[in-house]
Amino acid sequence: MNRLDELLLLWQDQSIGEAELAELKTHLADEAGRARIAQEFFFTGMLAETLQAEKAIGAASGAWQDTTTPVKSAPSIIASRFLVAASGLLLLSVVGGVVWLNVRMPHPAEPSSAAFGQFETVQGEAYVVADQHRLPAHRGQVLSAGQGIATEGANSEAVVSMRDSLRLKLGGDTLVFAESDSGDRHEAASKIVLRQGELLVEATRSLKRNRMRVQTPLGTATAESDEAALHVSEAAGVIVVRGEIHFVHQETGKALHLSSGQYVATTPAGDVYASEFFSGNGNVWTTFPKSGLETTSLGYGVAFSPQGTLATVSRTAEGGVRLGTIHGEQRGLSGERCVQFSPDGKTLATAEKANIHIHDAATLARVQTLEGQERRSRVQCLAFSPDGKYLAVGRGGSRGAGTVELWALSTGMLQRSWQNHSADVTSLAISPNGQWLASGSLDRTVALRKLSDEEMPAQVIDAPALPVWSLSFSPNGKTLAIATGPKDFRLREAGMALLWDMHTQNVRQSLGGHTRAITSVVFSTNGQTLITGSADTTVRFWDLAAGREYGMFKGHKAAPGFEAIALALSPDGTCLVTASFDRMVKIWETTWIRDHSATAFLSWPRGDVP
Amino acid sequence: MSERIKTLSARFVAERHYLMGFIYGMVRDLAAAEDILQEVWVRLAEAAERGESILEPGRWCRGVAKNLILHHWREKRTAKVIADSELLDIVEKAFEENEEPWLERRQALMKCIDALPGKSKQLLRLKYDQGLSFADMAKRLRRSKDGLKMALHRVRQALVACVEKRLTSLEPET
Repeated sequence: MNRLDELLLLWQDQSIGEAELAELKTHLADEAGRARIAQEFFFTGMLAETLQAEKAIGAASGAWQDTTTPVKSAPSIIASRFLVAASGLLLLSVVGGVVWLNVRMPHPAEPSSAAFGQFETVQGEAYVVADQHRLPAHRGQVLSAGQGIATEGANSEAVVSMRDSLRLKLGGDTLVFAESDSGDRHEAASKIVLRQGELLVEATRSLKRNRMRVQTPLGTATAESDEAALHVSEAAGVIVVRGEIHFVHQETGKALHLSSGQYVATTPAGDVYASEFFSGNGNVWTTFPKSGLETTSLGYGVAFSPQGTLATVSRTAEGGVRLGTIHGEQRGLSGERCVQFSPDGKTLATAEKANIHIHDAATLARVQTLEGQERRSRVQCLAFSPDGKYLAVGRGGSRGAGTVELWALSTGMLQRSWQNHSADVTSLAISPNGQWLASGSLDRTVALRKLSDEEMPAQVIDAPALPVWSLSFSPNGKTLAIATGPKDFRLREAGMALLWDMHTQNVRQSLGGHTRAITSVVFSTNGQTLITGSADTTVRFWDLAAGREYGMFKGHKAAPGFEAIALALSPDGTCLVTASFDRMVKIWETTWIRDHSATAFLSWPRGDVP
Repeated sequence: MSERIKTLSARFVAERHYLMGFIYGMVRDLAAAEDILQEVWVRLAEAAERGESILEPGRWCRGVAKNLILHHWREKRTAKVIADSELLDIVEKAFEENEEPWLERRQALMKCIDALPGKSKQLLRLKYDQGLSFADMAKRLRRSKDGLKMALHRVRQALVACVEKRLTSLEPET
């Protein structure tokens, strides 16, 4: 064994020392050494994968046995997954067809004595589910107790009338089981179990003794009034549409009484309480053309100028930037991903790949272009300094770490650049006094830089356990709100909003309730309410004094996981703008924002309703 | 799935062993290496969806993998994982300089592993499947660390020789 082989074994064994590591690097200074390490790593990787694949195949036939120790349960490799999946599909297609013929599925022509419900309408794809099998459902089809109803596709719907005067309306991609509440199938009321998706359950007449009971992943809701309607969804949980509901939380057993218009809110600690569901439709300000790109990353941005001009941007080249007042005509401009007004509202910054264009906000004439030095390093976010003299730019790209830059607008020169992130920079915020620049990244950190002190190294906050999607300073600059969530919005992993205390340098509060990534965060103008938009399709309102979610609304049409709401509050705090993957930009009344000084909700100036 | 993503997907699947060697060589943890490999694929698909121009997918994937490896190391700081970004750069360069005939090599290797004696296979499994350190292997097998290092080296040399022999025998005669 030569010295290079020996050093490579030590590296592989993770027992290499600093001196040996330095020695290894000297061996790799020449091409022959590098050829050796490439061959060695390639060979080792192949070896590890081959052994895993052999084990996966051997395990199925019982051939692979390690006689020295129980085998560590490492995840199987992609190849073995493909193999297993392919074998499974083959088996299913061969065996499943035979089994299918033997499953007794209900048919409208021969209603079962145990008929429990009947399909009223079917739109798109709907199925009756029995055990592991599915049969396409159609109008008039009978449902037996214990069978499930499934819809597939975001636009599919099914309405099913239950024997005991309940009506179920299933939204897209939903799975519901209708069970008997007791052993007696003929007498008992339905127990509706929502496994996934969105469901409206309503009583069509007085239920008297056999009251509606709906089991959700969060807990069990039982009607307390004769007439009741309940909306249950993954995004918003349990909302009472009509009547009175007794709710028992599954994890804690805590009981709640919910009235019409209330929903079950949860704290990160697992506590539950009743909050208010804000209903109503926002006014559509604009819509963007379909791009086919609405998948897993932020695609829309919104910003207000101090004069009330609204700018929004979509990911699509066709859509670009739209600009206008909330009542007036809209104008278009090319751009993507992000858009920002200068604090005086006279300048508009837009991004296009690696470059930033500075426009006159009145004429939309391009007055300056700040060219990115690396073509592949796309602009992801922008922030103006409060004096309007500097523009902070957050970048990310396929190669290299996330970068933050500070450009002087008077000269068009890059003043400073930082590389504190190992992944894309997704968000930027500058404190109201212009002292601090915060950047959030997919690398699950926030970096804080003191702009007035060039020597001071960036402070890296690693409190976020998930990628950071949005940042916002409170109006007094004492708190930084950090919105986090999984990188893939389709994951059912709850995002959190963290409130970072700039003075104590600690997380003061963690706000949880959204069921997916939080994609946007803004403070109300009085700093007492935090507003969060999420991939779970909801916008939620948080009372910062109480540290609790006090309300939410659901304003866009995309399915959970295919939503990423961007938020902006008008400078006077009178209107909230949301933009999302349903390609709509909507304007909402801000009557839902709490004003603690008045201990009431701010009233909407009716004359200005758009 | 668009034609472009299909083409990239096919190429990724076909060439992934080479990328896996790069990732696994650096992180030395099969589960983590697989996670990184899959994340690279996700990013490649996303970039393709966005319509980004990817002229050299192999190089592009190594670049993404490199960042993910750095991130992995950063997350594992507390686990005392030995990490060195300079070495990472050197290895990336090494992979750029040395393109291997990956597919034939892998097929040959599978056959060569099959032909190994039981004890040699056991060594390979302990090291590369279960990821044991030489110290742990020494305890389990009641052998010295140096002896095990040498034994593993010999098994690997035998495999390299076997692979080369198989590849040579496959080459068309001129």
